[in-house]
Amino acid sequence: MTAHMTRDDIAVIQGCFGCTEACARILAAEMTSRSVAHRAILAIGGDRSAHLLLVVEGAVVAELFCVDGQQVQLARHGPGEIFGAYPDESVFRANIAAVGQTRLLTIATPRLKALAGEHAEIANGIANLLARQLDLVLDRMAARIGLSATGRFYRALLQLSDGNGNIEPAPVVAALALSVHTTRETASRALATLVRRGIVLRQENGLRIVSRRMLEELIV
Amino acid sequence: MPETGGEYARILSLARSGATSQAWDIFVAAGLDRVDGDFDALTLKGRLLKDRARQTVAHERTTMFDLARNAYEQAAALRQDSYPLINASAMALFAGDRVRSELLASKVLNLIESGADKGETPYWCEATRAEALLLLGRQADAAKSFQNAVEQAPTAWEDRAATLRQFALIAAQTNADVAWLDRFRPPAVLHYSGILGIAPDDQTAAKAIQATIEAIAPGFAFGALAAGADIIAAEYLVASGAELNVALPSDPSDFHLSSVAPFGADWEQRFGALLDNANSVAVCGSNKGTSAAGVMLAEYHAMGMVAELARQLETRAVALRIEPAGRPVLGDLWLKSGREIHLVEIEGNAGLPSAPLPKGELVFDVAIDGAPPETYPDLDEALEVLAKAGDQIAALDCRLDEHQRVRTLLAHGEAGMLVASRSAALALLASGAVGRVESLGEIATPAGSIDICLAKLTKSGG
Repeated sequence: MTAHMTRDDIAVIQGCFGCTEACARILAAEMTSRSVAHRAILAIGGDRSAHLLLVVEGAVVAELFCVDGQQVQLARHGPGEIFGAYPDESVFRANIAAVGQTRLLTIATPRLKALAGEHAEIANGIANLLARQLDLVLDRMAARIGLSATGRFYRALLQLSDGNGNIEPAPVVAALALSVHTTRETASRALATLVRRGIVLRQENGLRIVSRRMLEELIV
Repeated sequence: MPETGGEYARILSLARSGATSQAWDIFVAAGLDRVDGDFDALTLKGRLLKDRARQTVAHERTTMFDLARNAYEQAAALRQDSYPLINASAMALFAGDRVRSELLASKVLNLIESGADKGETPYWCEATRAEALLLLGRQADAAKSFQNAVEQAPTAWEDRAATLRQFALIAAQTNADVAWLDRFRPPAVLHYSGILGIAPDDQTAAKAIQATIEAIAPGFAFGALAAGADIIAAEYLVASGAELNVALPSDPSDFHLSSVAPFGADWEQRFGALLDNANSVAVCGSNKGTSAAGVMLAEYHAMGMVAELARQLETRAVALRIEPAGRPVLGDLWLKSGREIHLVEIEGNAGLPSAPLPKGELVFDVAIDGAPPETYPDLDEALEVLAKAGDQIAALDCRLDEHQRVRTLLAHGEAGMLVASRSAALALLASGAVGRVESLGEIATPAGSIDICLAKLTKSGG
């Protein structure tokens, strides 16, 4: 784990890879946290791509210049999404730029591939991440309507609760936010709203959903 | 609830947006109107019938309220729960059956007193008790219970607003004087904006702005943070305990470069401190930098948020303009809405940077059913076209870039309703052309997600 990794980062890795904390720590030991300013260029189309990158905060856009000189946005990757190279090193297809203050967790592609060979859990996590990314791409092509960011977060909270409405231990908001592709700020505000209205109660060991019906009504 | 989760959410969204008929049609098409053993289906039925009753002609209203009462009572028979029971009591009152209403209200009180029902939240336990007391004509006791409810959750503003709405309806039906409700009304929601070019230590301007903010006493505020009047106003708002929500036309780092740093280091430090203290920071314009068109879009966003929150909280939506005397404000979208506006007259006394902002271009795209989309340079022109759409499906978007997205929205519309991107919906709210908008969710596109909303035009914006 690098000096820059926090407990939240471990939870983020655990959530995104769907692995145990022990596996998340193995991954964290190979990962680097990288913060870049708004509009920073992360790569130019044709550059060697030798890392897999996970967006933790902010977003990145992939942009191409067409033959007529027009700039076209190929893709936008927000919180919880991956981009870069896997399973082999390759080249960037487009210019990659940050949108807003952006933080990324990066891991060298060969190291990730090696870890996948050693740990079934990590291999499974990569498969899940790639499958989820494919789903997102297909959703975007279909322009399908889905839940709003807060709706997705509220649904995730409901799914975490047991039959009595308890969520134990308390979820790491940053990790839960990424699992539903939203920002920590959006998720924190959404949770604060629930607590303010008494719909969710913070307790010693976690959270308790006081009114399931009211929470369900907010899932839009 | 039967296997209708997705439809249930859509029905609720439609009902909340005011599309009562469409919500009911989907409810019936899903066969939910014939379900009589499901608590959720019955309470939703009660809610939809209540909405329909409020929109129907007088002689049908009583019947519709009675049907709503019946649905809620059926739900209450399935589960010991004050939520359907108190609604059944109110519906009985609106249907003109005061005896039944009081009988049901007494049942609610008994249920709460017995401890068998603790309400959905601590707030709702006390608010439901207050409503039952009001339905029984015990106003003083109702006021006391409402006070208890507020003490249980002093910042559950949305819930308090729902209680205020319901109590006002009950009072209208019973001719009760409920002036006491006003003391429970949430504080006003403010949109602030003002000029650049004020000296950082201009005490005259600062005092005038402070005095007006104190008079308005807002609890929530929306606006930008340009060096000058914006920052001075935002500082007083934060100091007074109001929740500050910032709407910027570009990324904070770009906005800092274009609209704060050129005015001096003092403003830069104050800008940073306010960003740290803000409840939310929305970037509403472009990720390519600040433009005059982006500033306008961010203002629409902030004004729309004010209108939306004020409606949700049953409170005042107020605008504060900090401008030189006599400066025309006729282009201000807020004026079209007819809502409260306060003007603080001050003169700029510091130099402006020589380079003005790039102009940029804000346009409104309209699509109506199968016709090709049309683009308009302002909201008024777009509204004139939309007003003629009648029962067709119509869509509205606004944008600063060249990527037209309005066709994508159209697929998610409803006949007679307007489907709009969130940014366009907020502009509509700001202008008063719609009274409310309801989120339908998010459409994922390769260029990012679009939040979409459903609205019903109440008037043209012209």
